[in-house]
Amino acid sequence: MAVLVSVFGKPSSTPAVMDRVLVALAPAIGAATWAFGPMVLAHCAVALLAGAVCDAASRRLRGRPWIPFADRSTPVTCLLIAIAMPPTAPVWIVAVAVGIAIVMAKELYGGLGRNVFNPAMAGYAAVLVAYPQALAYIDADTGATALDALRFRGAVTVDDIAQGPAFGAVGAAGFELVNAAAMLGGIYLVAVGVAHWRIPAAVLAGIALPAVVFYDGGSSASLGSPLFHWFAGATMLAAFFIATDPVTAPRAAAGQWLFGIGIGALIFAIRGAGGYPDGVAFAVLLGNLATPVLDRLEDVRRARRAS
Amino acid sequence: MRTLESAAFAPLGEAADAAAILERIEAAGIVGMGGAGYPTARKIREAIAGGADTVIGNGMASEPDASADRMLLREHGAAVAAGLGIVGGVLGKARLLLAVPVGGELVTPAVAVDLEVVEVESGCGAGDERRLTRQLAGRQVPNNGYPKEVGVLVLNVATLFAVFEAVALGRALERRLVAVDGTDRWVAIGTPLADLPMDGGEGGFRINGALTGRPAPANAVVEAATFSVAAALPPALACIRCGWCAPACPVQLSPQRLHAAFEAHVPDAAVLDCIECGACTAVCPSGIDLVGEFRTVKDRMQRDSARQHRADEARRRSAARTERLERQARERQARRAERLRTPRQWV
Repeated sequence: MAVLVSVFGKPSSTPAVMDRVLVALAPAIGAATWAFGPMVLAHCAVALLAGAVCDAASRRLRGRPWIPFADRSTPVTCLLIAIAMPPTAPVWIVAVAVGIAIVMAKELYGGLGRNVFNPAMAGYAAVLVAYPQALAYIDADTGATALDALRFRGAVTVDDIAQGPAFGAVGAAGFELVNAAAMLGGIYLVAVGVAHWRIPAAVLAGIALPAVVFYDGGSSASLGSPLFHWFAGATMLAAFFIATDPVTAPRAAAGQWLFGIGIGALIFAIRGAGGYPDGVAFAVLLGNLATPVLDRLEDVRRARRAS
Repeated sequence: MRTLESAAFAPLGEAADAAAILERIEAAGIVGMGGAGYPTARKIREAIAGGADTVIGNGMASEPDASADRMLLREHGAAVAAGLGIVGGVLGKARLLLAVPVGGELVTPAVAVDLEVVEVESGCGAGDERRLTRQLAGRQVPNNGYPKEVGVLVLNVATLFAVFEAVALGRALERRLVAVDGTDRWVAIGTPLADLPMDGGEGGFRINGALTGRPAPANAVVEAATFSVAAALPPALACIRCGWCAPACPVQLSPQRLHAAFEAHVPDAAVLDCIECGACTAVCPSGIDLVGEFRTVKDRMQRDSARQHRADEARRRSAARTERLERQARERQARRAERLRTPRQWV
């Protein structure tokens, strides 16, 4: 009972905040395991192990007490990387991504709270660029994923390919379940006050707006319906777990709206016209890059109001 | 711990005059017990000099750890009211107000003092003496000023209780109610914090509350202005920019931004608007003592501006002196030339 209360109340400390995020990730991990097989759990285990080693080692090097997972932000990063990875990815790539995330994207910038980029997305983007072959989403049953099919389909209409095994009821096969689970966890995060609804809403709106504009009912030029994009790839993870990372998101409301809509629009743009089937990592990193400018915007507005 | 029961002085009778009472308050060692520790007799004299006509007894206890004040009102309300009456007598004809939190414990009704008990909405900063002056006396204290400038004297309820004991019972200020780790206890002033009956404290103590208080070393003692003692706050974690501090701030600052400026050693004048209520520190999940940082910055900025002011004054004086010396030299020169022009008469 006490555990339930502690999990459903507003957290009072930073480690407790991270614990809520870990709880919120559980449904998505469960759904991914159910959809893609036990390799997902193996990836999670490898990621956590690599994260603990990197965490302790970098703390030791910085002369801090080297307790791994002291602030619990590292396991969050590890699990996000593990879920983002294709289940067919070799485990060593997961470890490399975690190493880049923790050591380079976080600790080298000064540790938790100082990093400019979301560590999980920095680590994932680095291995995505370095090992594109190993990270292609190849499913033994369905061939390519729905986003791959959409991106590299030639002159076939969306409605035609949507009959293929890569597509589910509304989104991509398997992925729609993971997205629904991630959304569930995300709603929990908003309910307990860890994340504000603004950024997830902005990301989803940022995807939906261009999707509506470019959606023409399923011709060969169509880029897929808004609903499809919401429930394909890593949309819900990005909206609720990655873009909401407070360290790398803007402070004020206006900046958060621009940040979220920008990330959503970039996700859609990269899916529709980029060189990668999904664009979540790159979209978030570009959003992170804009965060100082968006904060500055707020400072200027504040100063103008004060004078 | 030993309980001190002493009667250092003979009780003053009803007929005692203001000067004798002020002398007694001074001799009993009474200082502001709400945390400031300012000598009470001096505060009253300054208020008289400023023509004060209103005395406010401050029982707001707006710091959550100020439970000792609430306990005092509950258990010794009549004595507090009598203390207020004594101070009012020193001022002559004064309006006496006792500010207590809404729904809190009221003073015992059997009070022979003509005072108004005012229930004030409690909350962050509700016990600020400038704020009480505006709310209860309807007078705005100027910036960086004190209530005495608008004819108001605000005294904490524990101070008033000590005044009553010193004047009516002849007791020196030797003990006070202190919230020791959440339990209100009578503690002899001067008791080492390490000797108080509580757990923790190996890593130092925090006195006068989690919000507005400050850390104290392990060898510190209970002072007259110490109303609460607790174990030191755990060491702070990194700021994760969660942004919870901004909606908590009653004066619409962004504590998170001020924290970043503090860590980067970049001056940010916005910090001067901070009222040091401690709400940001209370909500920070990383346990960062934001208000402590802001206090440090404000002190530094005030010191710098005072130093700048002194330097400017010195420069102005120096320039004026140079100019004066040059002018005098010119005048001497002119007189000399004038003298040389006029032929002297040889006698």
